[in-house]
Amino acid sequence: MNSAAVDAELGDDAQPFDEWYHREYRRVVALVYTLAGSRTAAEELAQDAFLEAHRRWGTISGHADPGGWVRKVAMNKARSAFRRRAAEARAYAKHLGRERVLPSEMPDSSHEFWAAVRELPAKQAQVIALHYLEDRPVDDIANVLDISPGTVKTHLHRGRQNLAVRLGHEEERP
Amino acid sequence: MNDFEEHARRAAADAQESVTRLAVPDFGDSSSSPARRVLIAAAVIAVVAITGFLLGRSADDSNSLDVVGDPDRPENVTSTLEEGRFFTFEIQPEWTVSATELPHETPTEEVGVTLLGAAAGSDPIGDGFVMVATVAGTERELGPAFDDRRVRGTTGYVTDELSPGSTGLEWIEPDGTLVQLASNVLHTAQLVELANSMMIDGVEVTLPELPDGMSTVVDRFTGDDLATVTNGWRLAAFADDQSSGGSLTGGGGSEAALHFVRVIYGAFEPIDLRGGIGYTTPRADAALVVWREAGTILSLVAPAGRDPVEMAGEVRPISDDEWDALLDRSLTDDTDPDARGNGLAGGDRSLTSGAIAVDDQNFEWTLSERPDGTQPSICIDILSTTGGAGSCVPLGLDPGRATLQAGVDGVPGWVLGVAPDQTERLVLTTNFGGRELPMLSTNTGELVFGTMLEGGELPITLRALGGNGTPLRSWSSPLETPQRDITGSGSRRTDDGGICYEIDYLESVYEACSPTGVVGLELDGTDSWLIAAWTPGCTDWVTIDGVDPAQRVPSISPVGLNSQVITVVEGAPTGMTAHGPTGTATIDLTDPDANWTGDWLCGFEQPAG
Repeated sequence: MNSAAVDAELGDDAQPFDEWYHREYRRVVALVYTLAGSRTAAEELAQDAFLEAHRRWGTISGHADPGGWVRKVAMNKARSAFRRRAAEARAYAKHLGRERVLPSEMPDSSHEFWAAVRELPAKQAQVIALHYLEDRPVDDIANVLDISPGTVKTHLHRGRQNLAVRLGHEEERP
Repeated sequence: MNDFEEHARRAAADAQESVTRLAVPDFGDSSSSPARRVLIAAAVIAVVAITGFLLGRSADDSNSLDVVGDPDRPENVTSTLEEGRFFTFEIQPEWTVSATELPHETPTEEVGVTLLGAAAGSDPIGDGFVMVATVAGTERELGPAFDDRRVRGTTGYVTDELSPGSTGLEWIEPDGTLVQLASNVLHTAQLVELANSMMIDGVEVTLPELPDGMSTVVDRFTGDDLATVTNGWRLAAFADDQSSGGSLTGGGGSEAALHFVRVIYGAFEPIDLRGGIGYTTPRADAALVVWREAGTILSLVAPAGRDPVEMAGEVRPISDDEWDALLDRSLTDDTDPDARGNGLAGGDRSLTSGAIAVDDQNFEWTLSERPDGTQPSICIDILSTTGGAGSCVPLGLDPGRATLQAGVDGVPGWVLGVAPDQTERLVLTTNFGGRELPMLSTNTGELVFGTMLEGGELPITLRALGGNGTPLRSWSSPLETPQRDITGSGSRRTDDGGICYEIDYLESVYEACSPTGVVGLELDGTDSWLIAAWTPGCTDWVTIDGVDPAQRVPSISPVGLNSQVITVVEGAPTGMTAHGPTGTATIDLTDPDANWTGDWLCGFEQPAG
């Protein structure tokens, strides 16, 4: 079933998949990019996540935050070393043949920041990415990651502290 | 806004900017990617991953991980296929080839699999299947799931990872039993209904009523059955610029095993193959074929860039000698620096701990703590989208063989150990990738290795031990790459009787000099120390005060009258004892003037110092 057919089947009340997909795609790629470290891999992983969303759109479209669902799936995919590497490999195979090195898509200082984020424990990294990249409030992040707001705050605090030290900033001040 | 906040906000803005001109692909582009076949090729290993998951991970010292490859071997052909033999495809000269025998798994958990099928002609699951798998007491985390449902009074997770193209539902029973339910004909609501109707007693599942049109294909496939299927599987893999893939053959090729594997792979389409019936995955890009050969051999081929049916038709028998020859070669592509550690690699066939291999794109071996966390171990895992399989070798049972301190949350860990005799090459792989480890020969002919695991930043203080722990140098550096080798080369005596020790670490060689030649890297915040020491000549091993004496640390790289040791200990060491053929020598590391004192270790030479 293509996306138009899905939309048609869902009727007027449902959020059109195509519209949602086009609105969210780049944001999800950016999120995965910061966590996976490769934009090419991020595109592949994001497409995989949207493909899953498409298959379950009948259910997901009724969620309060379908974007949170697709982000969770995409971040889980990015979190898996296997999937990240596999996606990278097939992305390279598709776009670049055997070439393995892509130039950074960001200035060095920003590249350095996200590289440091990727060295954080997974949950800290996800919380940091959702907070800074998407400017999501704590409750939103808690919903996306299916953890308590208190845990989000803890991860955010520790993540900031770790990053501040790693990046050579002053100890993070509240 | 402080510097950090400013940096973070700028990095966020740059990340967003990096995708603003990104074209949003037409939906569905990724599913038609030819490169997806590479992933499918990797599925050649997934059956082991899945059954390994079902079996749990075991500590079986009989495990051997044999590795290799032979880009030059033209073919593997014998005239007949004898029962029990394994076979492989014809190997082209231009291919990089590797082969391995996958670990044996002894079931540590009670497992049960029931398979129901709707028959189509002679195919008992040709019109659909329902699989129920149970694992007692699993500690596996469920998810990620796409949805959840209330199942049998608990939360069930909807997933598509149990069988390709099928709907799956998994949950944990109150007694801790994991139950997985998958079908390519039932939808989620029907799976929930079926789940709620089940009677489950441990791993025993009884269905009061079978779904319409279904009959029992596999009544109860147990952990022993699964082990029979997967133990000692032989994997041969190849890759060149245009194609890649592999074959996997095992001796437990029962009819039940065949259908179980079909479900695992989603190989439902029957094809005429090798004078019988084979099954292929339904999509054109899902290049996998599975069949039974000679009544006992279960075989799969999964190539990308080649026709799987053609390849399945071409596989040839291989004799034990040919297989051994294939195992005796290494396959890493040394011409490609990015591919270091890729491919299958490892030690010799007697290896019982710590071999290691990684495949370029789709599966890998990894080193980690034992899953139950009760005992430090070296685990050899296969990772895949569907789970992992492997074996863990407990450390400490054979003192001095290896020591592992796993890193957690950015804190580096260390692995040190002794490689099996005759090991020519040792490749250690973590989630960050694989690399060959240097090995140092000991005076007793043992091969010792050591490396750092995990990334992160850790303050390090270099201290002279035996000199009252005087700090020699402190630094704190991010580990930009996750592994660092510790080498003990380049040590020297100083004019005033002290000893300087070179430590290749953090991309630099640090020289630490101390009056006694005993230095320590204090891994701040971890209560762990890396000890590097000159010891008296003829030292076979040392023991360290405060550490279990059974944990002998082998000496390495004898130079002149002295030997060296490298190890990691918990807590600041207070003393060491060197053991040699004719006695022992000790050193008090809390005494600023301490030096080695005691017996002559060689029978003819005074202890150094």
